[in-house]
Amino acid sequence: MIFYLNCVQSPDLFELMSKQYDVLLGAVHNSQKSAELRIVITFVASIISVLTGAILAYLFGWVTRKENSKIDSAKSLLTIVQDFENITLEYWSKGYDRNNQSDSLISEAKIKAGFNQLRQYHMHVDIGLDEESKIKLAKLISELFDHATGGNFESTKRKASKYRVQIIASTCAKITPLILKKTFH
Amino acid sequence: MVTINIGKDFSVHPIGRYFSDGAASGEAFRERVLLKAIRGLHAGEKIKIILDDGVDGYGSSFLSEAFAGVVKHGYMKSNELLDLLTFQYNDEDFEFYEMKIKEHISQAIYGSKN
Repeated sequence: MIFYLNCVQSPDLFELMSKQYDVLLGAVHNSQKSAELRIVITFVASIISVLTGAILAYLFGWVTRKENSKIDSAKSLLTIVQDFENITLEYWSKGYDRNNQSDSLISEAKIKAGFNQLRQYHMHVDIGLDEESKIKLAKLISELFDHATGGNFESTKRKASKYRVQIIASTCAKITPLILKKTFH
Repeated sequence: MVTINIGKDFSVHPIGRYFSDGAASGEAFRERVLLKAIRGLHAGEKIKIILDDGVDGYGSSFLSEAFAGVVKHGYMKSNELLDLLTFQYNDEDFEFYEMKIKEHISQAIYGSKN
């Protein structure tokens, strides 16, 4: 009561209290605005975090898939080389047989087709080799062409050739680790 | 410019090394097609060889006998033959065979088969 009386009696004090009330209301209002802002910021930050996570996960998946795809391609190339080696070694381990011409024809067709497959795969499929290994591989494949289809290839004069069997096996043995190097990475 | 289209003027299945391996052998190509074309050239004229028209591919034995054989049998020196020949193909895979032909000719020893 005394306080009330004092206030009534003192207009300055009343005005001061009124101002403080306005300040208090303003603070409450600002606080509500700030809370809304925090909600918006939190929401935007969450979206950015989720998007960043999704993009990173996609990029990681993309890089992993690409790398796995190169390893799969390297394994396929290795299989092509091994198949080619098997056919050519079989071919050069026997001479031309007049009584079994169809065998020679089939082997020769397989060797030519096998080499085309090997060369095209090497040319057009990226197995992730560095430049130096690519050049080495191209040179070895070129040599393999001469060893496998040179000499008396497709000739009735063909005899079993220990030299060709050895040089083909040796060349394929040089090609294999170049490709394997990629599959181990 | 004289043009030799291997697929049309010779065979779509070039195969083998010697005459005894058939009419589509390297020796047959050299003696009946390539040397004939070379002998008919005028001064400064060249030969364009179309490699891929209907042909799937070549064996090294055919290429060696057909082209390097010109040098090995003493008809012409490596550099002279290389200067005469140009190659054409639509299939970029045949660049390999052009490279092998040039390699065989360059490595051939003049007259070594005489």
